[in-house]
Amino acid sequence: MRVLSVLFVVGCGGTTGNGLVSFATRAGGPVEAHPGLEFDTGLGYHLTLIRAKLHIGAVYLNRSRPSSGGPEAPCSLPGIYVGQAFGGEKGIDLDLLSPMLQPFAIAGEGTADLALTAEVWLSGGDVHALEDPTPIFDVAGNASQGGQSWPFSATVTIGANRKISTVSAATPGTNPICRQRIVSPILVDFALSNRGTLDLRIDPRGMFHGLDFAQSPPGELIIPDQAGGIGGALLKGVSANSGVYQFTFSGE
Amino acid sequence: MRISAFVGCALFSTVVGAEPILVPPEPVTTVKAAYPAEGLARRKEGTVTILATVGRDGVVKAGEVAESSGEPSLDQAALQAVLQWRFKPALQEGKPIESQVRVPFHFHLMEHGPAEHAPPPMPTGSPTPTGSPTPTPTNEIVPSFESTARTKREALSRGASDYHVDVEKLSVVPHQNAADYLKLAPGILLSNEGGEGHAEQVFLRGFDAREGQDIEFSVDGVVVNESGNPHGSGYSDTHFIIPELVESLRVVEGPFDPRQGNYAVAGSAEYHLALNERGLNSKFSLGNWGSYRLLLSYGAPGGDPGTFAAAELFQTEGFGQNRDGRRGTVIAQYEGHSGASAYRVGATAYLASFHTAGVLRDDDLHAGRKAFFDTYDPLQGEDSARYSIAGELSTRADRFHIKNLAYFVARPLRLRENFTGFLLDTQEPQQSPHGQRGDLLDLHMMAWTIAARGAAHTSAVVLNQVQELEVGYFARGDFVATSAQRIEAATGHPYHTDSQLESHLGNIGLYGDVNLRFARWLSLRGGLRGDLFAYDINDLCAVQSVDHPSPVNPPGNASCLEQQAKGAHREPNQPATTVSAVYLPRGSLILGPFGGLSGSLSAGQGARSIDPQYVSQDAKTPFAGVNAYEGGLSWSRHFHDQTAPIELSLRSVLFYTHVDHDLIFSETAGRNVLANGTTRLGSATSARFRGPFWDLAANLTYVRATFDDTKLLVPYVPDLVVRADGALFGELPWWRARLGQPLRAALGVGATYVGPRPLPYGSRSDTLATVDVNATVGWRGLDFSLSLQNLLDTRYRLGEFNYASDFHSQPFPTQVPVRHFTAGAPRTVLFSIALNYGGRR
Repeated sequence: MRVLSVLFVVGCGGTTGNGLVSFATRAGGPVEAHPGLEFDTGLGYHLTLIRAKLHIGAVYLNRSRPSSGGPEAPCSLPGIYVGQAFGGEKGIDLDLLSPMLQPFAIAGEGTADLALTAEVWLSGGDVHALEDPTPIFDVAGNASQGGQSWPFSATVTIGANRKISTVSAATPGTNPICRQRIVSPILVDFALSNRGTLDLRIDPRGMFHGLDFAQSPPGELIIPDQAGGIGGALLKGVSANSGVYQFTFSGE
Repeated sequence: MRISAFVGCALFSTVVGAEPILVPPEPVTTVKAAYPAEGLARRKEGTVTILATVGRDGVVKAGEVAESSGEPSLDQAALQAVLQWRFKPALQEGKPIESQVRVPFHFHLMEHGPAEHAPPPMPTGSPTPTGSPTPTPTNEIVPSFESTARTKREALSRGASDYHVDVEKLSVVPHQNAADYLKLAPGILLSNEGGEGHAEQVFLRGFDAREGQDIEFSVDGVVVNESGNPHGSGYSDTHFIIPELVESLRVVEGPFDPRQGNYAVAGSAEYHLALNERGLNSKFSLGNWGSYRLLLSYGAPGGDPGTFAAAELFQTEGFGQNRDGRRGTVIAQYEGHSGASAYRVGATAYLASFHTAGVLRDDDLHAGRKAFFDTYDPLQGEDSARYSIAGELSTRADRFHIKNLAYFVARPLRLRENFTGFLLDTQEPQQSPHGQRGDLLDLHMMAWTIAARGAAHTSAVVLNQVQELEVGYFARGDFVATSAQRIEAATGHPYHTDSQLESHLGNIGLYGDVNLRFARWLSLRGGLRGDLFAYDINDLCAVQSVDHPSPVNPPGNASCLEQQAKGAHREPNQPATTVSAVYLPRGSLILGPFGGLSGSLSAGQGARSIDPQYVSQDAKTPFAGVNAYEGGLSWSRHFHDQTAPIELSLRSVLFYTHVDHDLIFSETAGRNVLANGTTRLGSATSARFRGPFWDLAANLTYVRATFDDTKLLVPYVPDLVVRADGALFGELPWWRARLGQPLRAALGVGATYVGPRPLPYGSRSDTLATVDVNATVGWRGLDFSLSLQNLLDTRYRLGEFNYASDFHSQPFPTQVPVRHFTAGAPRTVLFSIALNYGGRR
């Protein structure tokens, strides 16, 4: 019976279009990453990173490219998702100061379609839950400018501490917490194929361009885990959709 | 001898010199009526006329006293005699048909003569002895007799895709419900992701007709398709039909008959109900999964099979999770004749409630997160009812037969399905912040349908052939209130209204149909049908989101909003009306028969009215159209002997169909939605072999269905379907001596094979292969049967889908398409005891 089915499909069948695919996913720091990575920021600070660990829940690929303007978009993209990969049951912790790509525990799934947009979900679980104690970004280093230095550290979580208040009673659903956790849209342009590999390189250098350490007096600085100020600027850097996250896909 | 016949309650006659279109039944075995001792003692005389129903196999299925002698014992003696007669069955265009024959029995006492009466029409052949000194009954010798045959006319064949399926002995093959009988026609696959009592999803010759949206279903003329149903306009739930009452089924796989109305895109299926097992019948069935069924039916012994009452109760715990169900049905019908008129009145009531397991993700099954018969959402299920009354009157006047049928249906329905889990609930700015609350779709409907249909039929001899003409009408009004809401999984509360419609739908159809016989071997059948579809829709939830809502009057979480952009006020509803007409030519050229071989060429157009939710003001062409073409060959041979006819029939057809707006399954809508045009090309072959102790049927269909724009395969529709049914039946003579009465036995086997079905994203489903078996033994009025469905306990997937869902079964939301399936039933065992009292046994 099975032989008959195979012969039938081969001889008389056809296709409905692109197929389902499975692919490996890896993520890590930039190729030149190493402990003690040094770089200058746009605000003129010289930074040395001694620790930079990022927690990723999942990544998604979508075949639509959202247009700017228009009504507020929901957290998930309105188009069709063509790829997804989960870091593990709780996500994956990445060392951004290592060029080694760490494999995701769960194989990616998707369809053999063109991906134009990517999302990185910075979450330990439900992106809609107001509270999530998962440390998303754990960083330590030193910032210096004009002879002053700020040895700093930060642990970023995204929960109620990052909730942005609504400005109008008519739109209480504006700025849901999920929006703070999803880095989107990250522009990509590749087609997925079965048994290929999706690589994500995350460059921590792009996360610090908006941080103005001079708002604090020189010396040991623990960046507050909150929405405003330098803490807010750090999260904004972590969730920057350009210059930080770079996806590539290679076929089998 | 003059033979006249009711043709669908219309009359036509054979004409001298013309090719007969109806050949009467001929008695081949007669049994004389014994003059009853009671009548003899009381010196009773008289004439009894028995109206006997002769089946396709020549057996007298029923008899009733049409004209009484006034003496019950004489009436009963005549009735008992005629029930033992055997006939060569009546033939309509060479095919055996069921017929009714009036047989007069004359009881006369003479002072001499034989002790038995032989009724006409069989001449005794010898003069009656005379001279007996004591009164004895005798025959009245009738050199010729005049009889009337009355039969329900089978519609004229529209070619090789017109399947008149006589259930007959194949009723012993296990059938879960009336829809199962559809499998006796080629190319049909039934699926059901909705569980026990949910309307069967029908795939027919490359069409995904869903729950009937592309097939016109009817029961003795009463259309089952539900216009305006929120699960899909045309939804057809046939579970109200008690399977034991299905006598025959006509499946036309294409729009080739002008009588076919709305929804006959892939074709039509018409059930004919009758109770052939007369008397009081009770049947109790007990099976695994906590299933039991009680069936009671009654039909006066010897009475018209069309007069009956039947009631059914069924309950099951269901296999696996969330598959429990209960239903009850009553169907009562009375058929009568008065002079040249026939009438039928009937009523049905149906109640059902069940839960549904729904779909499972393949990755969850393989990861061990779910078992094969598990469910994600226990709130899925259905509560439905159907109440209907119908009345039909047919009369004949001169050369016309006129038939009118009117019916009324009330149909409440609540249906809850969840195909996507927690995927669709997007955060709107005006809503309070929320996560995914669940996609369970809760559909409500209350529909009232009033409809009438009728036809006038006449015939005349032209070119030395009988030519026929029929004109008919169909009128239907539907008053439907529907809503579709989303249910929050955590609380069971509705949190969003997707749609809320008040629909007044009208359909008036007219048709003319001719049967032009140019020669004995050449006929052109067909005509033109016109349909007018009217829509009056009030969308009570026309606005669901607002750009820049008013801050002083925020809409909040309401679904049906009273604002438009910038907060401007408007009422939440939006009326829309439109009317459109469509004209549908249909015709078939019939060649033959030549030695039992016939050929046919058919072409036709069909239409499906659009879902009310797609109606916009004055939009044109609110329907989808189909063009169908086919050519076929059929061959049949009848071998008549003295006991039972043997019939072998084969047919094969090549077909091509094109639909301008097909329906494709949408998991987000939970039903089929409009898509682009599709084309299908295929062939179907079927065979049936019937004899005195066997009835075998098999069919095979291959079809290739593609989208017009991309040329890709249409997903979900099977391209290879094979079905075989077989029944062996008879008496076990070696038990007769021990038991005094013969032991009846029957064995039925049904097998289905469906090739790998194309699924979205270039993949194919698993094959589907099942075998069902039923064995029955009976003695006198008692029958025991054991039914095993899915005999081999195959773990098969009834439906398979590729789409995105998120059932919270994995650590993060799943948003890409993966394989989903609905589980087919495991081996199901059902033991039944049936008791007949007062019937023919």
